[in-house]
Amino acid sequence: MRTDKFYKTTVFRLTALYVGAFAVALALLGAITYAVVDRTLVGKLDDRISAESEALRNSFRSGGIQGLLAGLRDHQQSHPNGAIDYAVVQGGKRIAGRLKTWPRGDGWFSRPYQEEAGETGSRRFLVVSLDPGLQLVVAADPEQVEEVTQAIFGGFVSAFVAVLLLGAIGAVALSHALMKRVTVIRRTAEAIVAGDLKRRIPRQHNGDDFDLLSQTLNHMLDRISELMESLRQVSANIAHDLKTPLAHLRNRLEHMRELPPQARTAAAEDAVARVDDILSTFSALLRIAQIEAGTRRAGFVDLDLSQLCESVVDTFTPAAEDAGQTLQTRLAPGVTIHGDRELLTQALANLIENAIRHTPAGTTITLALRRDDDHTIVSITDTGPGIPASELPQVFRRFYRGAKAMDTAGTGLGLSLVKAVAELHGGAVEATNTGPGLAIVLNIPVEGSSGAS
Amino acid sequence: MRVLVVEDDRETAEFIKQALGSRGHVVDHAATGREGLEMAKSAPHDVAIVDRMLPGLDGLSLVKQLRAEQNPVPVLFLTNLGGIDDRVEGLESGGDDYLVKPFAVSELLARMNALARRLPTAQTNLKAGDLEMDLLMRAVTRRGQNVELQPREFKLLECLMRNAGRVVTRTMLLEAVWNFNFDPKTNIVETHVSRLRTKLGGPADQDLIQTVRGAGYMIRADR
Repeated sequence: MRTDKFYKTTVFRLTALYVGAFAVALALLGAITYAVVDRTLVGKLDDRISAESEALRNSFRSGGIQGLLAGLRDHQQSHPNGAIDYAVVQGGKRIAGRLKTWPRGDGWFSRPYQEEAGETGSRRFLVVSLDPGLQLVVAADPEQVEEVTQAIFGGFVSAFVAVLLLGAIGAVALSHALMKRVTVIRRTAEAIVAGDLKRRIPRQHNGDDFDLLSQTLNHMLDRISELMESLRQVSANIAHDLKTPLAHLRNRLEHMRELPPQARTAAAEDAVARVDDILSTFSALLRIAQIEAGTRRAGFVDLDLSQLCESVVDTFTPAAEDAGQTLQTRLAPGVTIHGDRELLTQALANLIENAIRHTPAGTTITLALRRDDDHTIVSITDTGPGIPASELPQVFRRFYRGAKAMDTAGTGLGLSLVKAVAELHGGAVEATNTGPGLAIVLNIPVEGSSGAS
Repeated sequence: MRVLVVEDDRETAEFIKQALGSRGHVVDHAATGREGLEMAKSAPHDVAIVDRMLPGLDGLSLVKQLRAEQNPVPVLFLTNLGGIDDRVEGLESGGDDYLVKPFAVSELLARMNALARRLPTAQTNLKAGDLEMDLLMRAVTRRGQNVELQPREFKLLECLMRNAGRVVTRTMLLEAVWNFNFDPKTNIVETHVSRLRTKLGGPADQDLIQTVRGAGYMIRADR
């Protein structure tokens, strides 16, 4: 389903929102400017009207009605174009001046006014009573004020429209531009979903945010590919390592048909033993998978590792003695660890068994435990032949079995489990040759194992 | 023995029924948890074998409910391969033992027998032939002669004597004596049993501890 509608994009919405807010601010600014200018200009007009009215009243006070009429004539001559008009009203009738209409009562008024040419204009009036029945009306045309305020209004309206228009164009252009970049990423993702796992997002190498995002996503894809490849490798190994014993088993079962009846029981028992071996491989694999899932951390407890080591060594001492080997310990007392008793027991057992099974009689095997400042270190060393340096990094891999170990029984998973247990406890495990002999060292940070709860 | 088997997998259920039936046990089979609960309520059983994963009412809930109703039937849980957390959960919910599928018939029988004929924990003295064990004093005598045993050997012998006359498997011993819930590749049980035999002495042909081929070990009840 395609959803390339530009107005649905985030960019468009954000730009539209921004432009809208800007337009509202502009309208507000226009309204305020309009009000302020209008008030200021009207005030100035009123000042002029007041001054005219005041002067005529002075003429009335000094010269009576005749003085007023004389003053009126002078003033009218000084404003021939009618910027200011006058009227003297006695008993409701105009006795002087050019104003045709005027408001009733005293005070300030803004009223429509019928102009000479027949158009309707407006006037600002000041009506003052001089004597009972005698009123002086001074009026001015606010046309100039209106021109200015209208110019301001018009300016702001144009600006408002321009902002909206340019904003809309900008929003569309911006969303199209960004959508193009997003579409490139999306197409790549879709191609990968469709199965083209090798696809990567094309980069522009200009260091912008999209470029950096593309880089990060490509790295992520590379990492996932690597993990998938190793997973595929592990699955292939598992399939291969289980196929071989199953094939052998199949051959034996087929061969059983040709055996005399009295030999079949033994053959059946042998077959069951072989199936049990395969099952124990499965069991070990599942166990490692469960350990790697990390859920066992929930059950970690504080336990005495020194005692645990002692107990496991006690368990295997008779087996080592029977094999003509010496199993000895060098344990620091009272070393505690926050961990899983069962898994640590199994890891220690695997390490000791490994040493017993892969070294000849006369070998001395030493289990050592010590605590550094912030590490618990368990090591198992033997005086056996060791293993070739080229094999060292591989001994912890699932199903890895050294060239010499091929003829002995075993699943090739013992050390993988040790590694998984070490990592579950936040630690690491390493194999080194001690010339002669092999040392396997578990290094578990005190914080890692205690902080993991 | 009358055994209740609660197992939804038909093949496993048939396998158990056949194995127990051919040895003279009576089997009541339920394929769901609800059915199993009803059967457990309607008749007393010597042992209940309960699969942990059941449709509807699962094994853990079934046993919890039984225990809530004061039903004391010993429960052997069947769990799937590799479930390392299953054992603890099973025992916490009121189960008495557990067995990982797939299992050998000998293992199933040994565990079932051990559960059905469990001795009361209050018992402080164990006897098997001329062998005596005092659990309070942690002392072992044979024909009145004191036998010095290490703690682990003592535990091993105790486990065998508690089940005198019945087979105790290698796995049962690993769990009970060493607390190992995994299968070590070294024959540690064999080496320890052989040391225990030496300490207990006696002519080789009259060995107290018998090896039962393909199953485990057994100490004779009386002779």
